[in-house]
Amino acid sequence: MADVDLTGVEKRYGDTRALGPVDLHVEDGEFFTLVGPSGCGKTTTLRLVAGFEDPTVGEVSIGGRSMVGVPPEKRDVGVVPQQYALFPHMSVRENVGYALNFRPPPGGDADARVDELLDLVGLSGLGDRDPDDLSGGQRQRVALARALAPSPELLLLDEPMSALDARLRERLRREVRRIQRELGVTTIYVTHDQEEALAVSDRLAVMNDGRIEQVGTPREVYDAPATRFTAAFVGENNLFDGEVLELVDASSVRTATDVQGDGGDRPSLARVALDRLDATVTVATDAAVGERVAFSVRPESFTLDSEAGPAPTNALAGRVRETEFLGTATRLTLDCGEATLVVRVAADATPDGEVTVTFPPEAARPL
Amino acid sequence: MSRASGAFERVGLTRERRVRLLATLAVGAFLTAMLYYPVASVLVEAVTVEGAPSLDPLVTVLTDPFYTGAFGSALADPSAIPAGLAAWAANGFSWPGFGLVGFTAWQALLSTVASVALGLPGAYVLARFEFRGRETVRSLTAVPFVLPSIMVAVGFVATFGIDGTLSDAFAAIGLPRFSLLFTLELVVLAHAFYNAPLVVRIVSAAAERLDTRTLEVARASGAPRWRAAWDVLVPQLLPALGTAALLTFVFTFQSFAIVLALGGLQLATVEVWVFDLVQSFDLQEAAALATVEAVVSLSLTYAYLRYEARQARGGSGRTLDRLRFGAASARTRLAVGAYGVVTLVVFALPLVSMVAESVVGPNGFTLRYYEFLVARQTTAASFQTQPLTAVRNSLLFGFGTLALAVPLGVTVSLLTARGGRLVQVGGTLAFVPFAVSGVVLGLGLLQSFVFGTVLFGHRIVLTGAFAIVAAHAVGAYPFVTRSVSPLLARLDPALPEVARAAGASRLRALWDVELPLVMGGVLAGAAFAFAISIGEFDATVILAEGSESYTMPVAVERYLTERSLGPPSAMGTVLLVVTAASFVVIDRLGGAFDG
Repeated sequence: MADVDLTGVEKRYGDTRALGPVDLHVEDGEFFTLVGPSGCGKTTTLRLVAGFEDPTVGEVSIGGRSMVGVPPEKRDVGVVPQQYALFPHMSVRENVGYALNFRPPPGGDADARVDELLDLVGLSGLGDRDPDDLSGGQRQRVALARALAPSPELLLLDEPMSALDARLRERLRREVRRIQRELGVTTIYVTHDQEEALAVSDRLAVMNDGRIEQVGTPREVYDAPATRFTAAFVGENNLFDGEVLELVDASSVRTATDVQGDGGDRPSLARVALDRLDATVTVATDAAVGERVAFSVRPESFTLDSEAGPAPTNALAGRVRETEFLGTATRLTLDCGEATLVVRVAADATPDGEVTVTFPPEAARPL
Repeated sequence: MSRASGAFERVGLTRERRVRLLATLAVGAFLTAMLYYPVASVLVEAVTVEGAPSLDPLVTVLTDPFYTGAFGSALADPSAIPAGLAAWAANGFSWPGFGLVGFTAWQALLSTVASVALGLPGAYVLARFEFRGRETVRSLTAVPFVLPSIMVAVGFVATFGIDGTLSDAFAAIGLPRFSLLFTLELVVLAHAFYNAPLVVRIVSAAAERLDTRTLEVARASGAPRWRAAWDVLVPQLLPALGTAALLTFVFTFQSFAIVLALGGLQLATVEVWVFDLVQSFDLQEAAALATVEAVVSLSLTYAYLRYEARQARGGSGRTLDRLRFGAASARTRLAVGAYGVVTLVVFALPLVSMVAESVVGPNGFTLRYYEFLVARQTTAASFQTQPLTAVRNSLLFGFGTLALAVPLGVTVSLLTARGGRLVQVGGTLAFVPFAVSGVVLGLGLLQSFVFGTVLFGHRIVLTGAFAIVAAHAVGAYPFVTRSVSPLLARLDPALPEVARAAGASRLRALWDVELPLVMGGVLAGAAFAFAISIGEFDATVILAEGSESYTMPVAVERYLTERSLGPPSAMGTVLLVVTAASFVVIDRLGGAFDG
């Protein structure tokens, strides 16, 4: 097992910068996810760790050992690429056992090791099949078993679920997570699916345009997006811009719950001038009057006016443009002047026409 | 977390890059020695006089009306152009003639038109109809690539000559005998024999890649059937047709054996004339003329490669539905039937006639021509062309070619697999053999290595046999590359990466993963290389001149000048058997040449 460090890593192709500079630390035994839209540099990062490409600048180290000049075959990593890249001319067994040619298992019994792995991924008895004869989910398991066979210190997964349908994807990601926990192998997982990233990771890095936007636990990233990009990319969000009118004594404002601040600090509240109204929201502790601020509010933080208390703070009026029934909730798209607002309300709500929605001050996340 | 990460800037080469560099250098060295240098030595001859740079040889050729016709006269004496134009106008704008080069281009153009005319209906039938044997017909369109040109010439003599099958048939029903030998029509027809299948292959392959959803969208937009086809299908097929036509023009512009055997000197093309000049030891004029030819062929080949590169490959959409042939209208079936008869006459009859000619003597069935192939060996004087020697040489050179062309072709495939600008340049250079005529290459190898050359203070002399193998390998390796590259391109690049992450070195990953997966292409390429070596005539005939290194095709040509068609037919049949066997291997293993 090993931790992974990227220090000042950049990858350029000619004049275009594909990645970086990036600094990243992945803990030993951690399930770490790189998530972002296509072209954000997440796969490049993975390839640099695997050694398939060399950084233009900077250094990758695995287990404290610098990987400069170390080819992939000397890195002790297991790789599950997109579409799996199973060796089509080898049986399932030969695929899984391939790395054991180079890294014999302790005790030297490669056959037993292959059986153990097939068992681990639930494919016992399918060892003699051709990869072509397997279903998508089975192929994915073979790819995973193949990567894990030599007990690598690091497991790298590049969009391993992208070729599967939604239901299978959910089941297999839980299974990958179970196996990872069982083996405790440090894992870097690449996906463009933010929901998947939230579901499986110990920690994740949100990437955009070759840079890391934010690193944190799924909860941190979801609850406290640090940048506009993260706020918009991870989960659904409403973004607001405004100007601080006055700083407000936090205790004077009625809040539904206490905000979970860092180190128990009471967050600062301020009255902020928005497009058509003033709102009282959480702002950064160093915010000053007259400053431009931005914040985000999750759709589920809104309440339909009829359900709110008698003197609502932060009330926004809008016209319902779209209503989508999602099963567990109803998603409304509201036209509020120029802006569009997305809110989630109780599943049984079917509002129409003009509505007013409110959000508590602490639901606003300063960006 | 310092920003001063420049300290980590990589220096030096990884092992993988070193291996790539070494392989590139090895390929470059071989091609330089056996292709670029010999060819350049011919071209240099064309631009030097007694060692000093001079354009005189080129100017001589370009201004000689014999070579360039009216163009040459104009170049030779530009002041006479107005008078010449006036005279031309006064003559009612008669065809001015553009000399040997002009004629060569003219016959190539006619051949291209004929090949397209003969090939397009075939492409239509293959793309449109489903019928028994369709796959076989499709496979057979690859046959011309492995058929020795001189053997085809024998087949055409056996069909259209004075003693040929058609003439015999005429005589049998009381009509006068006739011969089409030494007519432009027959040369053009033989070129169509060679290149119409190419047209069929390239165009029908493109048609099979068509995404018919575009057609459906056009129809749904309100276009009637013919209009939808015109607006959507034709533009998608034109690039393929252009590719096929361009390739046909390049091939027929350089045609040698067919013209030599069926047209003789009165229908000489540039290539035949270069050969004739070499034989009369007028090497400088040969070089100058060859240079003119090479410039034309190289530019056209370059155009072809650029054009081809721009064409989209493989769609993921729905492909054309084929109609069951039995369900077609009676008129369509009649037309296709008539086309079938024409193709039988053009494609099958020459081969059948040759085989028949080899076993039919004046008194009916005979094996004496085959006996001759063996018997002459023992009785012939040493200066005569001995059949068994030819067979032995052909096989020897064939295996020698395999040993060189297969590693070379596979290496080029591997080196060019990853794209990039440098690779593009390298890839284009690697296809120079397509553009350089065999006669020029043969002449170059003869002048440089066989006559001896001085490199780095050492005098290097190669035997004719080795030079022949080198020439064959140079001509054959692009076919290996073309068989392997498409398979390599389809491989998931993650495959070798996974192998490497598993602990395999780059070369081990190549051996374990990539090579097994492209093995079909390697073997098909090998069969191609063997067949091409067995049938190669142009370079061999020059390099084998006056030596013991003659091959079967050279022997066929020498026997062809004798009275009886029997011996060349017998040897041609042997050639046919060998190349047919190669073809079966290619076909089974999926060697492709779809442009």
